[in-house]
Amino acid sequence: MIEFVWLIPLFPLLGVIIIGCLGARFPKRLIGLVGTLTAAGSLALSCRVFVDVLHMLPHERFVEVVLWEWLPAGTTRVDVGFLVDPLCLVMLLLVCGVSFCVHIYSMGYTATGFRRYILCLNLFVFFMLLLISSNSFLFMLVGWQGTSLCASLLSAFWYRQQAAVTASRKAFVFDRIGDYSILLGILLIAAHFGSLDFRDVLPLAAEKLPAHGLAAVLISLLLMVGALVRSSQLPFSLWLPDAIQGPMPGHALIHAATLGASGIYVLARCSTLFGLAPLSLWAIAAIGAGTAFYGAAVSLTQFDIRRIFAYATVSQLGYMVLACGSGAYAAGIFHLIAHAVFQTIVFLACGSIIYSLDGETDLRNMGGLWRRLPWTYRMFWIGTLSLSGIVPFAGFFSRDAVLWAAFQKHPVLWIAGVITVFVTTFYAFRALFVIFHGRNRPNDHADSPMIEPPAAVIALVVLAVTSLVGGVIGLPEGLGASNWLERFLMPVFQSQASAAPAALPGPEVNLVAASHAGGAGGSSSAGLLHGILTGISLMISLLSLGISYFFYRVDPLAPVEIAALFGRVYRTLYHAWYLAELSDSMVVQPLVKVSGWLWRTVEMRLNIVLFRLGGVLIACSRFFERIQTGLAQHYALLILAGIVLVLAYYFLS
Amino acid sequence: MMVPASHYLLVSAVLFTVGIVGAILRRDALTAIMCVSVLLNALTLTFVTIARELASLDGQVIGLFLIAVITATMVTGLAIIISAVKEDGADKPERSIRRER
Repeated sequence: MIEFVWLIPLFPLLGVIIIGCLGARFPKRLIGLVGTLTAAGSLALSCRVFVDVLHMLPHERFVEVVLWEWLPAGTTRVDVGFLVDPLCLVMLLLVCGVSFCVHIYSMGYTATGFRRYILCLNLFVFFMLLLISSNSFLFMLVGWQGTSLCASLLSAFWYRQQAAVTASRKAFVFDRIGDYSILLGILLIAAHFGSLDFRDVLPLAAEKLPAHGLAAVLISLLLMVGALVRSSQLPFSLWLPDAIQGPMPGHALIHAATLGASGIYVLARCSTLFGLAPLSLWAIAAIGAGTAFYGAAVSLTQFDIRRIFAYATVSQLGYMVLACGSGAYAAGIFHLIAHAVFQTIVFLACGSIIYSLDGETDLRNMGGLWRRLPWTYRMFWIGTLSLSGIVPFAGFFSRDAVLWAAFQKHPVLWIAGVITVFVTTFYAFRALFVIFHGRNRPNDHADSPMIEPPAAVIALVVLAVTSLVGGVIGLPEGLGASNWLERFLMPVFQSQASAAPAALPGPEVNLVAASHAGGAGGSSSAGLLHGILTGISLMISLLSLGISYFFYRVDPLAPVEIAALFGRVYRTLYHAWYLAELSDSMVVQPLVKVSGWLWRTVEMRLNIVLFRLGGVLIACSRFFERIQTGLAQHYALLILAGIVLVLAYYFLS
Repeated sequence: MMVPASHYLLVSAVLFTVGIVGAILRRDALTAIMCVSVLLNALTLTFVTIARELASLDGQVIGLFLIAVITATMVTGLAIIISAVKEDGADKPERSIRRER
């Protein structure tokens, strides 16, 4: 069935066409059903392809399915084709699975604009599936742009609200920055490799680009910037927190599970290219660690639950970026999967809360909801536990893999990661305790209907179970288990890495290789170290849980006192480290000033010159237009004169 | 005695010139159309003359067509002029086309 892999993106596209062309008269149930069926179709086919690939030998798991030739250009060509390899499969299963759950959830909440919402969702899934299964950089770019478009469409879903429109525009503009960057990188790749196919570029990277050379550094930096903008890392992280303005399940699919994931996917896919420029890897790791801490710290102070978890997403994406920068791409993908699952739970639960409270999003107006939204409460617990990385949830194992990789890259990165763990658990449980427990904050939602549609609950439960047992796919080898995910993905990164130069600075390759060179038997000291580090991070997480409990259940006035005590710090965190103001003063205002200066000096002068030129032309035409008198007889005279001239010429020559 | 063809052609040329000059220089729409009719008739005369010279009937057939065409043209033109002149000058007497400029 592998040759039918192109059907996987086609199903959501069919959904778009059906719902778009015929769906104006469908009842809402039917629209939701069509959307869910297409998602189910994609998921079923992905599973089937996955099973088929499992039957193949590991080194054979690279199947290219080409549909047709898209851009023939001399000796190079770009095809519409799909590359089925372990990385692609893992992402396909993830995206299709989350999409399926979100569609089921959406069936429980149909409101106005439902058709438009399902259209956006399906279109987004289509482009995302194109992105992850494409076989060339250019084709991936199609999905890249399309996902950006759909994300902006969904942000501005309630387009009558100015905040939503502004945020959507901002997200779109930021993504253009990333687009230009990645486009330049792709052009450089085309220049150096003569081809844009993944199979032509990635395995041969080391042969065609000198290691540590300028080309490698440029390409990797450009690709990195593109990926970082998409994953909302510093300093490009302004767009994500504001962008959560649309329907929450849409944002669950887009921002929790897939949009940031596309940046990570690019990092993972181009691992060979990054391997040739260790400078870029260090930059990636540092930015990842920094952003993880940044996002967590800001999330601590926010009151809008959407922004809390938006910054949480930024922070967790930072972890994934950190893993990729440390060379452990499998860990990054593992955390991506775990994050997608638990963050989707959280976002969907927030959606239920917001809907039940008639649009209320402010923490300070919520409280005591655990009795009224019991299932949401339970699932929110699971999501939060996974987000905080408590055993045995998937979040624990994935984050542990990330931290282990970070430690091997440089202990400071690990320290940053662990501090972030503390903050993460704290803000996650802050949200849980404040939303669901505590006295009823003064609100007028006492008589809002508290509905938990069965569809929503089912979706949440499915995701929660996945989060609970999903850790098993990535149990670390250092602790004696066999890391299935890493071994499954290894052909992708190894065939891409086998051509990488052997002399990589830093210990990252050696320890990683050592810890699965012997499995349980080898490097027991590495295993012990790993175990100790894991234990430390777990204990810090539990400690943070306890402190959060104290702050928000036992002594609700404590956080207020602390905030007053550290006023300056609190305000900085609340305003997101003044990143928006910083960007404004460093980028926007200078641009505005330069534009104004150019307008006054250059453009105005140019305008005057052009006007003068126009005036000359007008004067000429004023002179010549007098021949058009409007009188038919004058025209007849002119025709006569013309005929006479022609005849004269004819007879005289 | 046969009148030489050149005489006919000369008459025809004179009539054509008169017609052209009149159509262009006349300020009156009615007489301008009458001049157009004159020049079209000159055309008919030319065709018939040449037909007799070449001893073929083609020119005479064309002559018959031309007469039909001239008639239709005149009828249409006169109808337009009459309908234009009917209400002419009712609201703006100074812009009436009946006055010589």
